[in-house]
Amino acid sequence: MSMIARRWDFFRRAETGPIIKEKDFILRRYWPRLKELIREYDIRYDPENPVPTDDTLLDDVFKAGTDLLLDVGFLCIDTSRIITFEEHEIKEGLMSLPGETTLGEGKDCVHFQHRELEDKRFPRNIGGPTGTPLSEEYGTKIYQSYANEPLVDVIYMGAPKSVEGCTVKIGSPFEIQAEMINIAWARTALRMAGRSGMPLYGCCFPSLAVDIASSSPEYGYRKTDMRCLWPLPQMKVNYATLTRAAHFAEYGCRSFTAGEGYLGGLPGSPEGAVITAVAECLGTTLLFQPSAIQAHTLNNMYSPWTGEADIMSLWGDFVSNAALTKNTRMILILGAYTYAGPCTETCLREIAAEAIGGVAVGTHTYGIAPNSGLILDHCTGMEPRFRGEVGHAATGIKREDANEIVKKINEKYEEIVRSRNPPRGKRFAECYDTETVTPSKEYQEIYKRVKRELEDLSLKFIY
Amino acid sequence: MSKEEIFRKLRANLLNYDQQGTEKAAKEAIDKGVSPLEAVNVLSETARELGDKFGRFEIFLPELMMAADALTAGVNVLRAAIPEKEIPKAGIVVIGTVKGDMHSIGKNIVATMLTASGFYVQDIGEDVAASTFADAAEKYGADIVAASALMTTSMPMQKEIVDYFEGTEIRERYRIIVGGAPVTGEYAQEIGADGYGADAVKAVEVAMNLIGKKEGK
Repeated sequence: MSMIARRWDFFRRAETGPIIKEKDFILRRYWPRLKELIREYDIRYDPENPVPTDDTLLDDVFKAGTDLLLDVGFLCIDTSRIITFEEHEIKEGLMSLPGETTLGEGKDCVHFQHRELEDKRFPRNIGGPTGTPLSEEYGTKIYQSYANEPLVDVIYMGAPKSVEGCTVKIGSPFEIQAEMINIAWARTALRMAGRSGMPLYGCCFPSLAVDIASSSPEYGYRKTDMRCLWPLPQMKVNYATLTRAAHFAEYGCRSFTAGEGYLGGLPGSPEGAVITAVAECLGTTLLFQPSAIQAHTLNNMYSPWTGEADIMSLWGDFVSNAALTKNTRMILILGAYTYAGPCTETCLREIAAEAIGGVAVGTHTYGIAPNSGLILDHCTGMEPRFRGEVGHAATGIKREDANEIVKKINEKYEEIVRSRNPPRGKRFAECYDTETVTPSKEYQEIYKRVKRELEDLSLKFIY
Repeated sequence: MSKEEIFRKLRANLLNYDQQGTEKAAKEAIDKGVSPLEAVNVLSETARELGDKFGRFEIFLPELMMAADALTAGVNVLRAAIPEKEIPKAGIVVIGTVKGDMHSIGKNIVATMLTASGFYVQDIGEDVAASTFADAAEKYGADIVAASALMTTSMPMQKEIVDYFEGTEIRERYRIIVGGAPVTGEYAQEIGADGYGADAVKAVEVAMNLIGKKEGK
């Protein structure tokens, strides 16, 4: 069964659905129903159990998310019309999920499968700058630092900050120039690592025109690469995203989407965020028919940067993903926007907490965007190396055990990330030898120290 | 009904985010001859309390948005009863998200907090070109132009606004403040903005300071 045929039907609802003002959609439709569902299903944030072991909670969160999607729908902000869904469409959509997908070419192909709770199969690891702005000076070297990592399966793209000295502005012609150069940097790095068929994961920062223009096997994204389709927070889409979705499907490439509950934003509480994240994952599955998806609850409250390794976000991330793992065949991928920067213990601890809990609840791993991916060249191959190692070490772990370890790691950095001044860390060129593309002694020592901490918490590393 | 009772009613309705209730209580205040200026102050103080609760994660953005609507409804009724020259204004702010950027949440939070602090706020939405910021600033007689950018690729559009205001020779008439997740104080300085708010509370502080400076207070 394929839901592709349904796409235009869903898109047409953005032309025919009930009209509502955006503010009324939020305040009169989404928010009151969300509050009712939190009460109805008695969903409660539990900082003592960031990794959920209560399966009833997971089913309740899934049902509440389904109800939210059915009762609220998605707003298309270009037409001010609500795209509504029927229960049988959600069921069909979930039934049609293939549960597996393949990215990349030749010997560098990567096969992704739906993982179960406490799955004994290793997670795949998508690693890369994850949207971080890159300098022209170090762009290729930074990609090389990821391509050289055996535990990185897919490269998540960054974004050049300038091209030939000209700042890249969204919507300007320099954006497409930047994206072409960006892809060339990554492909060059992959060739140098002997992994030319390794897939790229194109991020969503470029404008629609650039996303369409960069679909090219010769110079841009291949059909075997993955592209992303983000809804707008919360429960909203626009014409540009729907057009992107149609283009990616026609071009034939894989796509990736998300359900995001912003803590402190429109969903408010952690409970509201998990229900919203699940509802958005279900809605975007129907609208976009993605190959993979991520549910996450990002936190805007503690820092100028968005993060997701504070205890509240960890609970939200793990509960929403566990609910979807248990009730669907989605290929779930959990990312890490860390508060702290590269070459710091805090950054690696944040990565470890996310990886251990994420693997236990059935996700693959991706990232890392240190400092939330906002600072020039603040990203290296060491972060996904750590995430990959920890992810493999945690494979098969029981949720109860993962919960205890995650809490102990989190204790070491929770106050730091709440301080609104997390350690900034170092730029790529400050913590890597840029000629040999190898991490500095300092970074290797930090890496070993945090790894030892995890071993002391009974995590058994394989490598 | 005593003055205190009316004030309690105004406060209670605002704390319940009740737009109609706040509006009705404001009308009652005027009917009973209560000073509309005092009543506005009660609403402003209550709004500040709500802003603090939001900062402490005790209430959430939709509630803050509803409170802003209730506040505006109440204040509009009360202001109509105050002679024009006695109307206290913290200042007029034109706020929007820059061209190419559809993110609205951060901008909405700042707009709400500014309203709660007594500013008259004109929200010009998302994906707004530099020239539209300038047109709106002129149209509404803004004191401050606030530009939000949520992506590293849309940040340069904040510089474009500063450049446009300079290029069209209107820069001196307005204070420009910038904000958004990827924006920093250093960046704000680098592009020639007048201020930067790391979060909504800071944005209000910066706006207050800039208005003070503009009026030579």
